[in-house]
Amino acid sequence: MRYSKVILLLILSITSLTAIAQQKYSVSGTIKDFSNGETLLGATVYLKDTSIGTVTNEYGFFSITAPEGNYTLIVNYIGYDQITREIQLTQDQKVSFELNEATAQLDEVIVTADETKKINIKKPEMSTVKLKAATIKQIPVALGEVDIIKSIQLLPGVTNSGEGTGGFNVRGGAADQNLVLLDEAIIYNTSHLFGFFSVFNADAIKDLKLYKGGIPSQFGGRASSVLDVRQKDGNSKNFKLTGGIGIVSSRLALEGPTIKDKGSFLLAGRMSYAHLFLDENSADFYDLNFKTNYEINEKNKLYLSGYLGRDGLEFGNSFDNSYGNISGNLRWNHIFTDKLFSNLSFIYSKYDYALTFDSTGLDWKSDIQNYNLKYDFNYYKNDRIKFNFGVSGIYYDFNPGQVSPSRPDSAINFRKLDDKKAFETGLYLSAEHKVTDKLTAYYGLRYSNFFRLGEQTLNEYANDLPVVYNDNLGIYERATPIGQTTYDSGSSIKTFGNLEPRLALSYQLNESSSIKASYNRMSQYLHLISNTTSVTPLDIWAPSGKYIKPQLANQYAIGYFKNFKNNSYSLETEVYYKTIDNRVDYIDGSDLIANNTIETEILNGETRSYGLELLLKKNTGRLTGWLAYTLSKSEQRTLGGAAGGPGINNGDWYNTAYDRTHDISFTSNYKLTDKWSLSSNFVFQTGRPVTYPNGQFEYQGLSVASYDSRNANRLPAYHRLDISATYKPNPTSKKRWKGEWVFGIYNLYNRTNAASISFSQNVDTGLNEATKTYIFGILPAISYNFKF
Amino acid sequence: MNTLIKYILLSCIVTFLFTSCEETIDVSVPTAPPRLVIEGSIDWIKGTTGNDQQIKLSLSTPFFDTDAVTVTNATVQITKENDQSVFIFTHQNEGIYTTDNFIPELNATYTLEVVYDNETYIATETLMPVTDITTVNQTTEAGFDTEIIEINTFFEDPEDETNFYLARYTSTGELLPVFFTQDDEFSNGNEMFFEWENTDEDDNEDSLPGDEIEINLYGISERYYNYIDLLLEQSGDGGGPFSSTPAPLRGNCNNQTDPNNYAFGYFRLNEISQSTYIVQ
Repeated sequence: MRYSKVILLLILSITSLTAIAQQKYSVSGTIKDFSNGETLLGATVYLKDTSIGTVTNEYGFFSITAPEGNYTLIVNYIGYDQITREIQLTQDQKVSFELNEATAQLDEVIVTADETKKINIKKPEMSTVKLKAATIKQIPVALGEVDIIKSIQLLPGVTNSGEGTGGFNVRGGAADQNLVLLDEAIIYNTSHLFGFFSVFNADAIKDLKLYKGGIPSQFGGRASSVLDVRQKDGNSKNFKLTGGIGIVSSRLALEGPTIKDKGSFLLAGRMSYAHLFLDENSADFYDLNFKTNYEINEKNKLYLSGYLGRDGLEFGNSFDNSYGNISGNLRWNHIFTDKLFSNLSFIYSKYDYALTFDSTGLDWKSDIQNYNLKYDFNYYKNDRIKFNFGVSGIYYDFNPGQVSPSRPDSAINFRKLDDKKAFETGLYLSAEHKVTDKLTAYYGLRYSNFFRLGEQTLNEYANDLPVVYNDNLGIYERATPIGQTTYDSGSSIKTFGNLEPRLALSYQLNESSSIKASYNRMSQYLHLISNTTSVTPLDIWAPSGKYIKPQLANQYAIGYFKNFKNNSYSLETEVYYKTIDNRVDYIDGSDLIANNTIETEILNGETRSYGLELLLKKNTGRLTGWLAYTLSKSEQRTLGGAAGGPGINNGDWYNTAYDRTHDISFTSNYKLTDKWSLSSNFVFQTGRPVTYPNGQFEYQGLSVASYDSRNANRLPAYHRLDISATYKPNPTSKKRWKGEWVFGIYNLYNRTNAASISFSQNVDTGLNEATKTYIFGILPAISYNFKF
Repeated sequence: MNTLIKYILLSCIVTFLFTSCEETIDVSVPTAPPRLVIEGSIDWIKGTTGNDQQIKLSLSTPFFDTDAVTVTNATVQITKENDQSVFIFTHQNEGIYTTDNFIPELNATYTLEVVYDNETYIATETLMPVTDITTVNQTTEAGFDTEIIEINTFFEDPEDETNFYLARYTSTGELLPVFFTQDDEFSNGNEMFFEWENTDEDDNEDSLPGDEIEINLYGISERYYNYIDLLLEQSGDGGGPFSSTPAPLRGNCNNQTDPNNYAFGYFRLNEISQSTYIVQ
């Protein structure tokens, strides 16, 4: 046995030696979906009976280099039929493929899945999840409104603050530590209607990828995760109209070719019905997604994409508010050589929030916008090593708030908080290296810089301490400014630079299993200033600077990955440990809104989180779905430091609001017949950490609750079951019009899960009471979707 | 500024409430050992001598307990710092300590000393002046519900200083007083107002014609503003999704003997502009 291994090793070495001696050629091209011409990212391309292979990049591009010879090239993408092509590699060549969706084979085991998976377990990529829009659409949801952000919360390591709240939390990280990208543009607020729905219209989305750890070096700027959402390119073969009518909103998407075989477009809209939920008040939202591409020639392709989404709320005569994201991205794909692919992007995004209070006569406006230029390269050096490198620069413009009178007789004076400006750069290089046939390594290094720029006038404080501890009263107080410094336009107020190493290893144990380990360091220069449990649309982003330091995250993860039962099942288990320095924490009684000197409200703290994640997936057959379990802990601590005193919460570690000890999700889809398919979804979570009162006292005729340790108590456990059924009246019809009905019941056993428990004195009886607020009881929904 | 916060948060909470349901539940909560509660509120209503004053002492109790625990065996005195005059408060009944010779002086500093259970509590504050209430009126068209009466209290904010206000509404139709705070950050030097719209959903008892409403407008110090604001926020909607994490309420009554055993409550001295309004 041992000898045979030695011989094998010898043969391998000799082969590789001869390989070096041989002339090498590369084959490159693009992989697309046959039905609509959408490029496929993450498709596997490899040469049969060799270990040479790769996966397509974000634009469906691949490049393989191999010694001269005859090969069988195989292209695989999960859910699609495999393509096999004999190639004679006697010169560099271009081949493009279009894959057919494997709908016809649903009843059979997709035998070809194993090769795909084999590559997957080899790849050092871990802590990532890919979801296709089709999978997301199968998951039962509240009010039938397909929701990307809600669907990723069914994966291990991802939670949020509860129903009806925005944002999401990854591996015990805060909501502002997620980099959310829509076609590379930063989305600052992912929610509609304060979090009931998300801003992504599933009809316009191709797929998403969530990086919970092992984050590649092309990404930077957030501490916890990257959610990379990509819009569809638009059908380049035929005009298609898709749409749907639901209880909350209606959708319509039009896509089609612009110039035959050269370009396509997608235009999608979604609009809610006004007066949602409310009687005399109204709440509504809409989204517009746009994308078009044009292939100039084989080596050059342009993409233009955009997004516009807005929420409006109006309450009687008292106030109305509106907020939304707008983004755009112009990209140029250029293939320098068969081995060198490049993409240049110019991206703009903006988030703004506006509010008018008629009774007070107050107008409020705030926004954040950025311009981002980035240039990324993929260099497929040979069959063992592939490089990614690039450079990016983001210019930020913050308008933290402006108050003005909304009518002439208003008591409000005009006031503007100081605008803030900053420039963030990133420079990275990474290599994916097949060290041996069993060991693959990923090495990456990112160097980020952040320049906080003038023009701005900043307060000076004694000893540079904007917050001071009052020993006498035992509280943190705002320091009194002792002077001011004015920074000229364009001058640098404060500069930061951080080296961010990234490392990942994959060691293949056998044909179907591997272990992987990763480390990443991330720096985050932007902070969402919020001391509420849930993210609200009015939360303000603040840049690092003189008084706020960049957040620095270190994450370690190790995992075991296995495919079994002919690859129809897969198991992913991971443990992680993550620490974040310089996490902003808020002093008791902090006052954050419309505050020009946020530094007097905060102290720099730290967080740590760790956990175990299990994900068991069934990938093929009539029944598909997954079971996810997370056991985790997420805590934070803020010491007094230079400000003196013990720190926030007495300097003790306390649970973050997104700490969930247990989190179980079970999601399944069963294809009953060609006409009917059934889905279900079960969620169980440990209750959210909260602070309960530990007593009361009489003051000014009121009974006042007293509180002590932060987040030391918990809401009752959260759990619910959702089901849905999809009915396709004529699945085999040759007509262009294809419709489907989706019937769903959210929270089937009508559990009144506590969104919060508040403690107050009943105004009629004068007695103290606890009041539970819950959002959704049992909730039926129906929607109709169509394609034309 | 806090007015703005409240309005903005209100917009979230309203959205939230319109789409959510509430029910009263039984919850077991932790119980901390009792603390001394000092209700050191020196109210000088404009036009009065301000000689009669009282201070109330009690102990904190478990959150759902209905019986108050009063403190009857403490010594209470206030010292006026500029002339070192001392006012002794003597216990009457149910934890109420009174004096009839207090001398109020605007902007003067006073120190409260309470000795209870062999521990000494000290607090220092300034007697804060206040501007006059100019008008009180009622409207219906403003506010969240256009059918409910709002009682508006107007006053002129002095321009050359930063001011903090507390308003207390007590109504013959309501069991509990209602408090509001405001500062002049966005409206310095202008006419300002407090608006009370009684939107108590449970009993639908909005302000009704004939209800007598007493309005007290207090000028308060910045530190007391921070205190009362947090107190009101936490007693109103502590634990809601858009509220901040509830925090310990640290007043200004410091325990000299054992600093960790601080007292709840606050020592404040205020001039008050008072007005009574009968709802039409």
